[in-house]
Amino acid sequence: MKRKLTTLFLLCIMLTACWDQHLMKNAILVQILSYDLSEDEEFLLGVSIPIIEEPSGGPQALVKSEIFSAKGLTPRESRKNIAREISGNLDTSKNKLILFGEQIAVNDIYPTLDVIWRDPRNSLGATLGIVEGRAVDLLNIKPKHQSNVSEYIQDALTSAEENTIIPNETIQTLASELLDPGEDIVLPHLKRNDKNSAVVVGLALLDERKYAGSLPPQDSTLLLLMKNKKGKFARFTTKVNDEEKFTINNYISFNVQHIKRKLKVQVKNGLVSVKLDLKLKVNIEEYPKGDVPNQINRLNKVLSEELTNDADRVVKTLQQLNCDAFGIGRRLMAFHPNIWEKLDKQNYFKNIEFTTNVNVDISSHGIVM
Amino acid sequence: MKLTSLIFKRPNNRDIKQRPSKQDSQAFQEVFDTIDGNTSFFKKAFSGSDDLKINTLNVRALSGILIFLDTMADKEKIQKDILKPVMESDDTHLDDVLNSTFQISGNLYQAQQELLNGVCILILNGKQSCYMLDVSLSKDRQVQEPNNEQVIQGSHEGFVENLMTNLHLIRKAIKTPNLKLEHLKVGDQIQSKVSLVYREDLANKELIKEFKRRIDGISIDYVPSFGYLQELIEDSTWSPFPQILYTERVDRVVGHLNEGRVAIFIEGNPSCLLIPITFFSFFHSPDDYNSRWIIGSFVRSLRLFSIVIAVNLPAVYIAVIGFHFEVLPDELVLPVISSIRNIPFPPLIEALVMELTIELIREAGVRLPSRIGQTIGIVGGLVIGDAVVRAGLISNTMIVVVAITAVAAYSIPTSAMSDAVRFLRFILMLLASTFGFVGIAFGTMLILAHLCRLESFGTPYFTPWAPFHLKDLKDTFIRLPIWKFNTRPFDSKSTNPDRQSLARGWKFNGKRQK
Amino acid sequence: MEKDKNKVTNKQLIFMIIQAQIGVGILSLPHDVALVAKQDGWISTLIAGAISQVIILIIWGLCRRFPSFSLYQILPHLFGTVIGKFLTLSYSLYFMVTGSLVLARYSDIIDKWILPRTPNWITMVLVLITCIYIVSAGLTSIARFYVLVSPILFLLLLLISYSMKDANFLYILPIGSHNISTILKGSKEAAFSMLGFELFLFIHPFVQTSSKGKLKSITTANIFVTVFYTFMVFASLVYFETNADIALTPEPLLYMIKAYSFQVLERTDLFFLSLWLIIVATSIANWLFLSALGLANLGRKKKYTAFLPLVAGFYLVLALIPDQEKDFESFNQFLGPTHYIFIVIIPFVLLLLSIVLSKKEEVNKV
Repeated sequence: MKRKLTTLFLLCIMLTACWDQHLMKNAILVQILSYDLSEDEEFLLGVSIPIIEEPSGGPQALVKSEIFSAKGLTPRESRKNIAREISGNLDTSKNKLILFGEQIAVNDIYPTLDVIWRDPRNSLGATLGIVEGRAVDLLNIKPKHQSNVSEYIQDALTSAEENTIIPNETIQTLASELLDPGEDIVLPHLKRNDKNSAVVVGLALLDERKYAGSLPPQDSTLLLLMKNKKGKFARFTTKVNDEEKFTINNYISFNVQHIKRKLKVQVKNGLVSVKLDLKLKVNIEEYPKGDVPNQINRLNKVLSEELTNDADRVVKTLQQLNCDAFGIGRRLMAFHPNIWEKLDKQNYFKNIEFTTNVNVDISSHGIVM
Repeated sequence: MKLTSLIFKRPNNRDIKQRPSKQDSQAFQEVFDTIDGNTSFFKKAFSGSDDLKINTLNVRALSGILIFLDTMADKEKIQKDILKPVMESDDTHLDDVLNSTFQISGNLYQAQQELLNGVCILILNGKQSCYMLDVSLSKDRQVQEPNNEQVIQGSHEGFVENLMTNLHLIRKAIKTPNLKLEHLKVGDQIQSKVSLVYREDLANKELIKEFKRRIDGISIDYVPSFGYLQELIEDSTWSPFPQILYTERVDRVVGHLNEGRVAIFIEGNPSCLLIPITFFSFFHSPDDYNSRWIIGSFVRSLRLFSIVIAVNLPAVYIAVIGFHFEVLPDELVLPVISSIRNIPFPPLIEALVMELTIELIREAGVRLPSRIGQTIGIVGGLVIGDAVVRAGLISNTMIVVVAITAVAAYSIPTSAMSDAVRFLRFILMLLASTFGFVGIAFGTMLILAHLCRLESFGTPYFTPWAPFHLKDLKDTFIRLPIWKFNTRPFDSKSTNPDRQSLARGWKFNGKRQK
Repeated sequence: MEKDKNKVTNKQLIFMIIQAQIGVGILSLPHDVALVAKQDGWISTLIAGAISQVIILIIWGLCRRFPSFSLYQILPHLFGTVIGKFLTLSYSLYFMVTGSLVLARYSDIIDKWILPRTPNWITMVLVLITCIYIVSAGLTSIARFYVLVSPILFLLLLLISYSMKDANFLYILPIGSHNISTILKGSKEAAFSMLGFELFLFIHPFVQTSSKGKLKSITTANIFVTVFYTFMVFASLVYFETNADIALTPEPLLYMIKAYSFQVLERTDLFFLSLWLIIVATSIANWLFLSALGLANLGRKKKYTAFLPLVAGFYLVLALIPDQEKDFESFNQFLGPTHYIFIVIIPFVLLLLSIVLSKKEEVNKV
């Protein structure tokens, strides 16, 4: 009898409702979110959703994408407005990219992200990026070889990640750094090309939660190496000769194979100084002039000098923009908490004395001399 | 005592009262001294059945009647074993004349019982006893490999419907005086012969006592097959899991007997019940032991993995596409969504339809002659599967899931366990379609809790996992080399746990000599 | 043979205590501790483990004097029938309240993370049915089940360890910057999550080993739980920024693994939650068992199973009362002192009494 009652009860539960069911077939997946400020200071949200075309004979369906955008007071409200245009439920749980337009990034990026952290279904694996100009314009590009914009931009970012132009970060890993007063974040910086394509133009530097400025690709790579975050490849092209007539012979291209970074934070009389040593083992990939073994000492020296200069320049830019990408503040908190207490939490980074030193060591040069 | 309380909730006075009726030694009727008396007794006992033959015998000094059942006795044997010796010899002493085995009894009831076993009864005039000669007609199936438990390597012997042949096969395989047979009878009105086989030096006496107690407690008119017996003696019938292993393979029974378990045979059934048994025994196949141990282990772990798939995969699929599709990686999301986008049903209905179709195809195919069965398989599997996708009723991915599940469920070597697993997945599917992953977690928990409380004749069903026995893991998920099996498994409660001390002594001897 | 049904081996005892201790608190523990002790939260957790070890010693001391009496039998033995009965009832009620708080927090987390629209009482009923089923089979089956599901703890550990690849160990520094009283306050938070070892008071007569062996297993269990909790707290402290970020995330452990994706699956937190459900169910089953056992002792009935549906119904009603997180806090504040009374003070008083009155169970050695 008891068993019967239990079964009956269970059956009742089963048959009543499936409260939380949200069927996959009704979902309209959002693959990119873009945040902009419109001219009238309203919030402009853009989304890219995949359009699946029925496979015509082939096993795989062709995926295209469609862009919607709407204004609103907050991201949620704009989303509500977009949902009215779309047949189905807008679902951001598989969102892969969040792009900020420059205008909104200059103000603060944190408020727009709040909704993503708050809703349990949202994906925390999405990548953040800052777009020169309006972000929604980047969504509207029509790349020729890849019909889905989201896939296109993602591939572009992945290849930039592999080439150590941008760091491999998601909104989840950035959360702590974003909230940490002793560290600032760097984000991928994208730009719309005229030719209906997007290009990664380096790193966007943030001061606390505000977009402050950017770095070109080669400097971005150097910065990431200085942060000890190397992707698969880290390629540089540097001028090492002056005398050659044909300019291509003046340059050398190399790939960094192995890095060793030492970051020392010292405090003397209340003054913070940082010593950054970077040792690179590189592989020459292109040197038309040839005969590397003979010039190896000279090349090492020249490259070290060049890169040290570049590194100094990168640090200067960072200090100008007040972007503590190295997390010096965090180190002060951890190792010198008393000093940190006395420092100006906002502008401490500008007053830090940096000594950078890059040491290049050519370890291989391909299969020719 | 708790074991019994599980099955026999009521005190079983009724059984005790009825017990005398089935012990045939209790009923006694002396042989009449007249032929007519005897004749009429048998005629009355068999209510004049047409196959009851009563012939009078008048050879020289001997006169009497010959009684046999036409349908049970072999007339050639009667001719050869009884009539011919009696006719040819001139000795009047019948005991010396009959050269085949016979029994003498003064009890007509016993004679009547034996008549049913194919015995020919000879009652001589003026004697107060009857001779019973075994002339039974045997139309036995050949010993052959059971169709439902085939192996690639190893013995191809299987049991047949004849109890004696079955016991012969066991005796032949285990040549030790320690092998003990015990014959019992079950059934109030029609008795079935049940034989208990175990190794006296290994089997747990408590277990045998418990088994006999349960057999004694059975009160049923007739036990036609092992299924009846199984349900009458198992610990909990409220369970989808079989608690007694049923097999038709000789080598399997022999292996279990050597681990100290008890085998039960029933007359007329080509099968053997083994007790006590654990969950994992149902996933073993003699093939595991005859192939290399690494391969055996791999195959066995694959089989155990297949239960997880068979029980959970459709449920997980329903939960994923109905509740948490965010768990799918990006590369999978778009293909899946494109295949399910135009399906009219919710995932549960879709899965139920397909799962039930597969069960139906199986059910339809299993009892048909093999040629028609194949046709059903093709029509059912290929045609329905393909058409249903083209019609847009069921999604491609669902077909894949259902097919994998079916294959996984049928890879379990014991059909009873395979049925249990296939049944459980419907419960999990229902739970998953209501609560998503939460439902699956609770369903799994309930199943595990159920497995933890099940017992098979006092042995925890889910050993060696619950309770945990590290030593016995050697022969569950994996199969270690044979020479690692130095102890018998704990679950058989064997009285002598040591199998051997050093299976490969030569390895160590060689070293010592150096 | 009836006695056989309730036999528990020494090893099973370890897992029973572990499962009783690790429960609903595991998800929010790092947040609770970090709110008070910031980056020194893991020290607090270690201290909480040490404190519970002291309590365990008291409990064990008491149990050693009465090797075949559970607490429900010791109470009337030392205090007399009337007070004993009253205390038995209050213990039973205390377990009901604690258990239903666990139940309420469990369904709150389910509600927030996986099933926002499913009514809470449904999930509660689901877990209660499961727990009744687990508990109704007797102690041996409970113990078997607890051992069987214990590997899940290692899976959880593995998942959390995986997320450590993105940890920033600088967050934990400087070590010990907070003063002792702050750290101790953190320990208080952590200690509540360590509760559960009081199960020993009630099941020790069924454990088939010497009293020394029992102490060894219960200590092993406590050490394991302490290390487990400390690792979890440590992991979330190095993953989240310890001032702002962890304060924003009430269930840091879930957040940590939410973003990780493997080849075939994403949203690891959903799997983590499903596994965690099983761990919580075991601890709810524990409270259910203890309260039903108390009622059965009160009614002088041998079978506690008859009380299970009644107790479960009570749990359901109690658990439906708190509605928001605010209510949990007031619930918790009310429970704080009762924890001390029932877990520490009463056993301690009993121990003292039994020493002073030199009352001791006669042990008949066979």
